[in-house]
Amino acid sequence: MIRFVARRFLETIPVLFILATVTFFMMHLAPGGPFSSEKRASKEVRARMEAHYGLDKPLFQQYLLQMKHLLHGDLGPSFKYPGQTVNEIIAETFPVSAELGLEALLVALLLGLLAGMVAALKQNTFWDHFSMSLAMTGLCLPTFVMGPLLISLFALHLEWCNAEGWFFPRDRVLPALTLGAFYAAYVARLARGGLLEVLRQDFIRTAQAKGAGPARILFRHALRGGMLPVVSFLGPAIAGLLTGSFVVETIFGIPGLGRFFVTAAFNRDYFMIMGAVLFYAVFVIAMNLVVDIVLVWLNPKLRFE
Amino acid sequence: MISRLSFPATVLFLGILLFCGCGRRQTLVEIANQVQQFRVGNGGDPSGLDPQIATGQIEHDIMLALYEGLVYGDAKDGSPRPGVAESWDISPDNLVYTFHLRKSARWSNGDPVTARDFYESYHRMLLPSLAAQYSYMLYPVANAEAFNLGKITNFDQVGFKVLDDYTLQLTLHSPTPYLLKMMIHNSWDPVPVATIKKCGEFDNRSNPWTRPENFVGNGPFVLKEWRMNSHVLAVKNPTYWDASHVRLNSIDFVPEESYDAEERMFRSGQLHTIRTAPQSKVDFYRKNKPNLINIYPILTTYFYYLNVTRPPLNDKRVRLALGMAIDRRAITETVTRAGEIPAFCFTPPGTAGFTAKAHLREDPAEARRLLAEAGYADGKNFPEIKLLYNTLQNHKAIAEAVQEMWRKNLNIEITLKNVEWKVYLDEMNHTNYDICRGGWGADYDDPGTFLDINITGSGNNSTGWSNAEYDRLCRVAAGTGDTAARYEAYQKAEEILRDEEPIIPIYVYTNPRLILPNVKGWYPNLLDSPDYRSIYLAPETP
Amino acid sequence: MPTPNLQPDEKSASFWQDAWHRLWKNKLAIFGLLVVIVLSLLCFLAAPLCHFVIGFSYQQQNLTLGPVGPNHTHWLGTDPLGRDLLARLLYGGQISLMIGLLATVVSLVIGVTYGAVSGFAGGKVDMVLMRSVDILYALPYTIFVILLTVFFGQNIILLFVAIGAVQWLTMARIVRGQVMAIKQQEFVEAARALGLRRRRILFRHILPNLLGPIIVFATLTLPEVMLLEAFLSFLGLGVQAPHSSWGVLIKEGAEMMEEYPWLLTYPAVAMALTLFSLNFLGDGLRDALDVRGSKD
Repeated sequence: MIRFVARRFLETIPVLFILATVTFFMMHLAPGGPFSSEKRASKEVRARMEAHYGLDKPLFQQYLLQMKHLLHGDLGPSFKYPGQTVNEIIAETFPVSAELGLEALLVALLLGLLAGMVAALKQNTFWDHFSMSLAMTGLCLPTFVMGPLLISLFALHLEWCNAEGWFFPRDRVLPALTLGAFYAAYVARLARGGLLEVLRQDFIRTAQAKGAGPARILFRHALRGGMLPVVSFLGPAIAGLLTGSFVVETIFGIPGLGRFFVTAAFNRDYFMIMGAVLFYAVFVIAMNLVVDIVLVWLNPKLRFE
Repeated sequence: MISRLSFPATVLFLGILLFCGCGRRQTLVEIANQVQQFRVGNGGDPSGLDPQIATGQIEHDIMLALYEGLVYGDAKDGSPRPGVAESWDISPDNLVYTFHLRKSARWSNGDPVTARDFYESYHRMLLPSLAAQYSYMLYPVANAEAFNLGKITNFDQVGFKVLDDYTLQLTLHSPTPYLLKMMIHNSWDPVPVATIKKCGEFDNRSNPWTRPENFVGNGPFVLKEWRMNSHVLAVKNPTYWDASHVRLNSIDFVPEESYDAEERMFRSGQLHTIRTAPQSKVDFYRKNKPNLINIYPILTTYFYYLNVTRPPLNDKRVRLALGMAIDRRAITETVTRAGEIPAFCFTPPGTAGFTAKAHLREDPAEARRLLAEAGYADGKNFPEIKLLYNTLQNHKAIAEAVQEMWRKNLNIEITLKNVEWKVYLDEMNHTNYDICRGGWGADYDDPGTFLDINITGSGNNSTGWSNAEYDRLCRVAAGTGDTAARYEAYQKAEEILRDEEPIIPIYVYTNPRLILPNVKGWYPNLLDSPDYRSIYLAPETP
Repeated sequence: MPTPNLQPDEKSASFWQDAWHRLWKNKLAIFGLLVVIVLSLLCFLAAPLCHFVIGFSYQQQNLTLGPVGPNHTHWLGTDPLGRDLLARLLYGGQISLMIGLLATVVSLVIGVTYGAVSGFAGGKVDMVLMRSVDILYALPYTIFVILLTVFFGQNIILLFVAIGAVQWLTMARIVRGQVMAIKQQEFVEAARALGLRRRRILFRHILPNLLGPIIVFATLTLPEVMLLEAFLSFLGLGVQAPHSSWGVLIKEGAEMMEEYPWLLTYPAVAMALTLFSLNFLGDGLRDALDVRGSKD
């Protein structure tokens, strides 16, 4: 396994490098810079600001300088928030996004597995169609429709929680539901498919013949195999949760990294953009590595290739 | 069957129970009312709290709480009131202002606020290396511009003088009757020089002196907490010279950017006020909850820039035709619907008592005649031009309405071009457009702040228009302290604008603010600046 | 080869006919198919429909009327500028579906080529190509779409290329898996033995057998792409005025959801219905064609 991890690590470095390069040139080729504003300061003042951040140097020189900083893990200052560095901003906002993501994942797993199990066990009956259709709602209602609908119902009419913000534990519920619903649908489908396949197999019939009750069959034998497609879906799901959070964070006013990233792109906050892109990439690659390891643990037939 | 489903069912049941466990609770506003905490929807995260670097309205509103300049704006009409300066003398030629600072003014760390503090603050503001975007607010002072552009390097030559610890003298470059009004702006606020130097380089924009652990200010409130994307908390400053009259204990600025989300927060009892209601809800509040909404005019004009360097807009007749063919009342009554005032001249009527007499007419028949005269009878052969605006619902709706009006009245087809904010700024600043939406808000209460942008070569002249007589009139107005003479020059300038029409005014903004009735001491004013010294929370009526 | 001797009441059924029978039995999938066909027809016939049946164009404003709920003149109501919602819905649908189709085609072309080449070539080439896919799969591509659309202007062509270009990964994987499986089969060996050139084998023998999975995943990619477009519209990046799309309509409707609920309801229902139908159809096709994906 050590070899596996080491190899993954070695593969990641050129990827990050290419990513950083592509991002860098894409940002600088875009029209509009960080310091355009409606009330224009004189040319001299703008020139000073750009010099302060090193934006007046030739492009390639800026590129090399940026690469050097990145190697030291220094993500640079933020333009929009002078006095704050990108590292600090990420450190402050990422834990919030991470919490949201985890809670959404929990919702997705709980609701999805429930729906998938019911559907698989009662295949092709009303319950199957019903739970799968319910799961589908998550797939077909965009988050920015579901979010305001949930807010309207639970926060404004029933007054059970705050409409916006991340102050109390109960503020987590609606955002997690909104973000998780989409993945619940996927999990439901995968769980249903995976379970169906496993339930067909011989060893299940053997267990049944031996007199094991349905719950025991489900939890001791079927679930482990049925979870496989769900777990392998988790990798891309995590990436998706991260990006899906942009919209949810905006709707619910959650102080997470996703919202920052989008506004950084709009503000041409170069260092912030680069920092966020690389941070996300590293995080997602790391998560995928974890998922791969878990997959092997779940299914000994696979092996680290 | 029961056993199969019992486990997941219990989990679900428990989950629902947990959720239901939150019944009706006390709202944040109810809690805040009991501790005199004013919860404000501020419209976004401040990008910084340094009064010399920050530029937006978001930052501006917070700085009104954290700093106080020589003067501050009155709560009701925004006129200059004695702040750190308890009195001042103006020389007969209007060129020398002598400010007498009050001896009880203190920084939040107990140090007295002295004339030297102001002197050093203005020094910093004008340092070219700081690259302050609002440094031009200090240009009325003699040699300030030269120092800021690096033409002179000795700050002693700039018109600031410290006469003694509590007396500061300003010498102006030419009479500026609106100087005190300009000084309300945060670019004239003092900064804690010693603290800044302790935290880093004096002129480094990234100096962390505004972080809560370092912060020192002289305003009625002091910074306690600042969490990105979460809130900015300012608590009452005990060392403020007038602290006994400040009734709020703290202000919580909540940084939600979306108007819709802010309105939801307001409705669910999380905020006392939000600056601007979402356009689609203004009608609803006006009809159903008029005690919660306050719509007031502000000194900002909505208009379209016309690129006078490109055909067909280089022909005055085409520009006039376009301006005459818009039904402004239809726009303000059916599209924007927040009681905006249709504008027929550039300077909002009543700005510091100035109302332009030159009005542009709305006359579709005359517009068609002018267009025909210019060679495009009935819209034939009219070249394809684009209307540029940045992504915002209102701009889109107005652009679509105007596009339709021009189609109906003039039979011409223009295309809409929607780009996002930074691209929009880029295109506008480089005059790379045909027609471009624009908005201009007053920095201070005087017609000059509007009319000056059309001067040849002004950094803010985005149309490429140039008129020698207009320039001369503006120079005359800037060079005299005689208000009557100034306004006469401005009247003539507005006439030129109406004749040549490099910009098409559309309406004067109103701001639809949502505010709870138990917030007292807040008054609508033209610059939309609240005065936190006078605001307090009355007990809510049941 | 001599034709097999069939009994009179036994019909020779091809693979496709079998599949069609299976599909036909799946009520949900057929429902999905019908809905998709009807909606597409309505949307692509938007122009004549607006002109002859509805009576309003999607641009026609009526400022004095303002937003009104559904009634006799405006069957689905109007928006704040007085524009007929049904007309806008049809035109928006045209754009949404077109973006969806074009983006799916882009991802198809890239994905199928990539996967086929990789699977067919095998060996080192395959390893490198697939490893690249694995790595790309792991990256949060939406970030790039956002950056691309923020920076490089919002023209529709760039939009669907950007969207399509991020969906090709799954397609490539599926196709590569299928190609590898097919490659082992006898008829390919036979073709090789006959001395046919590799390209000919690839195009004439292998690709036709890929049609099944390709159809399934194209049907399932379409809703994902449409959702992505809606997501971008919410951020202000998708389709720009004067064009509209379901994503834009939903976004605007969501903002005014409480005052003018019809502005949200109808576009949301239209989009949800389409997405549901495509998903059910795709699922049904997958069952009918008996396709199994390696990853979903």
